[in-house]
Amino acid sequence: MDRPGAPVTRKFSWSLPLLAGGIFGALSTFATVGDPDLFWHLAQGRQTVTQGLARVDAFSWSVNGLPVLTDQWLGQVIWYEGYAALGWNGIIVLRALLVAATVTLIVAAALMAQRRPIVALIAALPAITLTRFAWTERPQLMGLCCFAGLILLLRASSERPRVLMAVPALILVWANLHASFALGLAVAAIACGELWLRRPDARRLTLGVVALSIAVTLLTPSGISIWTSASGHFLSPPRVIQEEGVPDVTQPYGFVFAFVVLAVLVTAQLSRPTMLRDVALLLPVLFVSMTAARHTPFFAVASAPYLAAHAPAAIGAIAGRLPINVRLPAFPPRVPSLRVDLAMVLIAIVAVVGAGFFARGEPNLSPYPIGALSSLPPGPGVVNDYDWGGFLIWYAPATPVFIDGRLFPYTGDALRDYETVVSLGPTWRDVLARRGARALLLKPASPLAVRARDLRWPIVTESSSYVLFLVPNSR
Amino acid sequence: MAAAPRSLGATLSASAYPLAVASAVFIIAVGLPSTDSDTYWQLAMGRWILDHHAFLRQDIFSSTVAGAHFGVGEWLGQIAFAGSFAAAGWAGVAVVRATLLALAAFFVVRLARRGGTPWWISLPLVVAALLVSKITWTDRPQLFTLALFPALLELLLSLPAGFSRRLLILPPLFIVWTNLHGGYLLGLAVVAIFAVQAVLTTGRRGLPLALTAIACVAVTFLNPAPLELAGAAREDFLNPPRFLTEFLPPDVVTPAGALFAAFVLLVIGSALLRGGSLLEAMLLAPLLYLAFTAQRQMLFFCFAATAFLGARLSGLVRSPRDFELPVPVRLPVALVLVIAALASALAAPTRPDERAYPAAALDTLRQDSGILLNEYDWGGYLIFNLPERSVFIDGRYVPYLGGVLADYRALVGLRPGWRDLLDKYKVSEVLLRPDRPLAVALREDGWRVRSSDADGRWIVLGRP
Repeated sequence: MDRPGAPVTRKFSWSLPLLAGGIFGALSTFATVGDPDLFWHLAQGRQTVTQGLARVDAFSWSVNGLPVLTDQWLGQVIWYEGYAALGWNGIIVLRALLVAATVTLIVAAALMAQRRPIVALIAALPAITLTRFAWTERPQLMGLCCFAGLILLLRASSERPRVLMAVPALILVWANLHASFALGLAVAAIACGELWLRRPDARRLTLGVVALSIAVTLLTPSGISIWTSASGHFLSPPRVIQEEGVPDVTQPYGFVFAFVVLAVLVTAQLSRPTMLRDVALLLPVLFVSMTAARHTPFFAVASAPYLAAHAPAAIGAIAGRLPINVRLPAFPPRVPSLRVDLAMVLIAIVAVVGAGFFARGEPNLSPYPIGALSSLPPGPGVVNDYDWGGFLIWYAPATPVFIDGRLFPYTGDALRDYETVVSLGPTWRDVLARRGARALLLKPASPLAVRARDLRWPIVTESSSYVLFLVPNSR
Repeated sequence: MAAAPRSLGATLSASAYPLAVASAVFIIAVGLPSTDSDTYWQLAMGRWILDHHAFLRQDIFSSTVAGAHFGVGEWLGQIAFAGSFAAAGWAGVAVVRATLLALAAFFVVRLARRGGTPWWISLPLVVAALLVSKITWTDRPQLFTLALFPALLELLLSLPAGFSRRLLILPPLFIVWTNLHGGYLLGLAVVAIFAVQAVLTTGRRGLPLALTAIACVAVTFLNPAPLELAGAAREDFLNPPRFLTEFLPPDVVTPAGALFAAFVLLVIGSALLRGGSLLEAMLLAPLLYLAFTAQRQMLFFCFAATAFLGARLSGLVRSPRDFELPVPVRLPVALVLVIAALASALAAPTRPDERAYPAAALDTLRQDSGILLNEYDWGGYLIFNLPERSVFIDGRYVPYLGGVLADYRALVGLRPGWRDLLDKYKVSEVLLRPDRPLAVALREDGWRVRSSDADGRWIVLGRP
């Protein structure tokens, strides 16, 4: 029992996580806006805000009127509202806030596992570095932020199971933001299963949390079909999309991912054995991270607390073997006061929002055919490059696209036809005729553009990065 | 005190299980026909070396890099396959392949059985590791590395601290390996890891292994072109040619990739719960990184992992009673399988599986003598089966880097300047898949269809 008047000893401080979050959030404002998928997300968000949630396609001429996914509706609305409020700076501020929140949560989870701030921060750095590759202006970043929050909750629930009661609420929001909620739900269920085995007193709670978390995933406009988009990504990643490709260690992100995996492997070998909880939190996420490049940050985020807690012991084991006397610094634990925490909240928010306001607001449109916009014929019939579909949806609304980064509405005939045409398949002319194509907006080095130039098809406009052809004899 | 020598019966009993699995693998592997396109040019090079009693140091097969210097580092592996082909045709190749795979299986079983791991844990590990290696079961010198790697690991793991006469096996092993295949570099790295670990953990008692490692490095220079092989291996590691399937990163949604992922998860998961050792960390971490670089490297991590997983899983998953076949049953079963394996060699396929190749186009191609632009994957097949025509490109790929390969890709992908490239190389005939953009464009431009496959797998087009 505490004695009256005994000083309250704080065990945890948010100062360091907030400081890290503020720094990286502010740094993120240096990255320009311009992700290819941002534009169609914004267009869908605007459509939802102004006309209500659309369940069929209204942006393309190839799948017009066919069903589209609504699984990211809330994320799209939030991004659009950011844009509506502050223009492109609103997007930058929102992205910076999400980055700051993600980094704060990652460092907090590491600090919860390792009371020495410097060690926790160092252990979190690989995860922060890997999230850099997901600092995009898309609902995906919100999903990553939710995942970092979930890991923090699950780590905290080891000692305080009642923290798990926040999980269903998190999953409810997440399921309306991004399809990565499925990973969160699976990890939460596995962690609850481990707690169910270890803590008989928490069995009713864990069962309730899992059941409620599953139930709330149905509280989305997509209903049960929310699960099809999530499983589609996982079971059959569309490898043609770069970020859906297999993690490649010869790329910078892949190297960092491999570093994290190897760090966990070596730490597991050389530090003392750990609880089943770490296995439950790490292994499923590792498998998912190995499925596609875009999933690699998840494992880095999940492993940061483990590395924070155990990597020092592994480093000590290696240092103990060396013939030279290596003395690692002690890095004593420090817990700043509540006042410092509050001051840090303010400083972080001011730093992030302030940096967002002063950032270069205009998106980087250099990869896009900006010069072709005025020459685009209105109405259906333009076959565009896949990478430019979102851009055209936002900047050329009078010219519906043939294909864009939404991908799933096009799976089937439209995607097959697109691939046949741009890769100059044997039936490319038939496809163009059957589809009623009137113009081609392509990268000059694509086989179709090369062929169209060979055949002297009329060029409306061109530059070193795009070329707009008219299809002869089109309707 | 020196250990008492084991009796023949005890040795046979201990080897019964590895022998049985190795025999089963032999029976499976010897029944598979050759399919790999690189087999053909490896055979062609080996045949040339045997015929001329000299190393083939220049390209003689292509029209694009004819006369260019070409590495001879795998000469011994090539003549091993070519010699078996000369002796027994494609069946000879199948027997060499099956023998090497059986050797690999034998040592992988021994690795998995370390520490007395029961069969119901070690057998699934072995089967999974061999299935991961399946993508490299091609009739090429790399099969020698597939067999020698687990053998080397088994030897190193069984070494006592300090000097052992078994250390003397290593330098001769590397003299042979360095002439067989570039994978000897991986072997050298493994020996170096063991040597460093031995010095770190046992001090001076690790010196004999360290000195042996230095000797192993020295003997690898007894190769007609030692640095060329090392250079090629370095290039494969740092810049894997991603256009080749085997050099793509591991894809865990494919069967082999899923098994590899299972190994990774098992290694990390069991180490989290039980811990590991410095040696395991030093060995598996670099092998895992290597596996991440390319699918063809996954097997090395899996083979090495079996050596540690078996014992650790035995501790994690305890059986109420370990069931092992008694020796009087085990030995006869192994002997029966060995005899069956020997007999199965008689049923080795006498022809390769040519379904992936334009076999029916050969007659048409023989009627012309101009420059032929061929599909990359069919280059080796043409080198072997159509020696009178030079290929444009083939699976050797290294001589084609830095020019011809880029031009080839620009040509078949119909990139800007493709017509100039056709003229530059004076291409008069193409043998391509019909859905290649170049094939489509040339047909539209009036090139004559000289021959085509009814199933749409290939087409021969000639200049109009």
